[in-house]
Amino acid sequence: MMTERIGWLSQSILAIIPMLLFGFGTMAQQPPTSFGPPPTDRSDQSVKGAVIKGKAPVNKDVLRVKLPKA
Amino acid sequence: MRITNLLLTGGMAGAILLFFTAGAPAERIRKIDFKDTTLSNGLRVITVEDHSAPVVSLAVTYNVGSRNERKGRTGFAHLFEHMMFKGSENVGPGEHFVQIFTNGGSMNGTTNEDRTNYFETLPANQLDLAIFLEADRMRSLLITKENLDNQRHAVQEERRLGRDNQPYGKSRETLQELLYDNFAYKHSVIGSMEDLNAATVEDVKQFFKMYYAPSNAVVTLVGDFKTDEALVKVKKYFGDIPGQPSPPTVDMTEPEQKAERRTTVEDPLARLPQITVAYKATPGDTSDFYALQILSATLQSGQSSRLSQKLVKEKELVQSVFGFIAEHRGTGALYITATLQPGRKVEAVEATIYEVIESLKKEPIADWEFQKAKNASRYGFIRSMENSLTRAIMLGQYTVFYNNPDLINHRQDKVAAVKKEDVRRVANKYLNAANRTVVVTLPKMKMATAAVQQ
Repeated sequence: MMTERIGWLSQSILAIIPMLLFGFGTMAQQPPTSFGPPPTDRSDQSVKGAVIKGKAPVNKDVLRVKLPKA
Repeated sequence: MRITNLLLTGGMAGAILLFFTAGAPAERIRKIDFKDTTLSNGLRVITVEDHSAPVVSLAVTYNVGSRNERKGRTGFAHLFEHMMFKGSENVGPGEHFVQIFTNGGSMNGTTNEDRTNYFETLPANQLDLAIFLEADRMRSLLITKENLDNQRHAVQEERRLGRDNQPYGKSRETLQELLYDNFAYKHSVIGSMEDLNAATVEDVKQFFKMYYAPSNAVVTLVGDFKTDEALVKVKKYFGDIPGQPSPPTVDMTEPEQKAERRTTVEDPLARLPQITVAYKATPGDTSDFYALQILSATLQSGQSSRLSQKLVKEKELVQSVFGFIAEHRGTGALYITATLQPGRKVEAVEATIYEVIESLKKEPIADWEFQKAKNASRYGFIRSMENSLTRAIMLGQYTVFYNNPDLINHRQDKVAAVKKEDVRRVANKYLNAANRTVVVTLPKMKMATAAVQQ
């Protein structure tokens, strides 16, 4: 648990370093390009009531990933 | 102790990096090798092999946006985007979400003035699934009154949430209506409540037939696959979707503006006055557009920008100032929005904005400002290109907007080619009183208080 906390903290610091070096403004250099509506948030889309026809070609195999050698 | 060391080390590394990059010629950005294929039904397919991570990203960009809408049917392109998740011949209502999320993926769709896109990222072994889901809805979308009513209400709620019940929401819509004369951009993407209510099933069917044809779309695939195998799959699922005649072209002619336009909006939800100044500009991917990008960054990007220094720090007139140059296929616009500090005068803020703009017209910008703007553009571009989905989306957009997927490999060259004199030139060309539209938002406190009391 403690290890996880330290890991999280280190990661946060590492993430902050570029902002300290290059400025927060740089992190926000990608302004919007129009006044259109923001994308509909579908990340928490409820699957309740969904009708599964089961015809979609889902690969049931587990994806095996070869990690590069250190 | 470790953290202090880390910060010190990082700080020194950063200082060294900045020292060596200042004035040094920029290294070329890694070229994106793509294959551009067109199927017999007119569907254009752009593929990019990238084996750096075991994922695939697929984007389908349709050549339709709110600019294609007619009077009385505003908001229709976006409403239609919602309909695309309600099922098709072989995919049940809501199944698209289930199949993507339960197989470790993410997905969405977006609509703007100039295009509509749908996209997903999945583990590489689910490439068939991604292609199948997109092809099935292009071929056989399920269009029913029940689905339309359901999504009409969802979009109307989005409008309430993002526009009607947001401070300054009405001002943004008012600005678009005042800024443009051509109906294509003169209305909001989200549309009006009345028009959304008026949409019929027959409208949806006609829209689908006219715009959601393979010859009016671009499929972009980026990720961990072999191009030949991926193209076989694309042909298998998309290849038999019948082509359609090309939709009518949109007249994007925007008459020249001859005098300043201005209005005031009273907003019961706003707590502070706000001013937005918009200047009509050029379409995207033009030399003036890239010069205006540098100009906009110099004016209002980050705390060291001219407007932030003058309005926020020096005069303490506003609490924030921001803006951007909108990239459009037709006439774009450069926007500047400042939200005032309590007790400050709108007139003083507006005068200061024009004073800063005038300084850009007279003197070339400083070397550091010029380099900062170019570095920021380059950094943002490289960072976004790390992501396979962003590459897929940008390739699709550049193909639909400019018929030029290779722009992804040359866009930063175009930014780099901007000269300081170009920045001054476009400031003089576009940032003039006769070419601007101003919307001032004033809080309508009495009404707000009454609303809260109710």
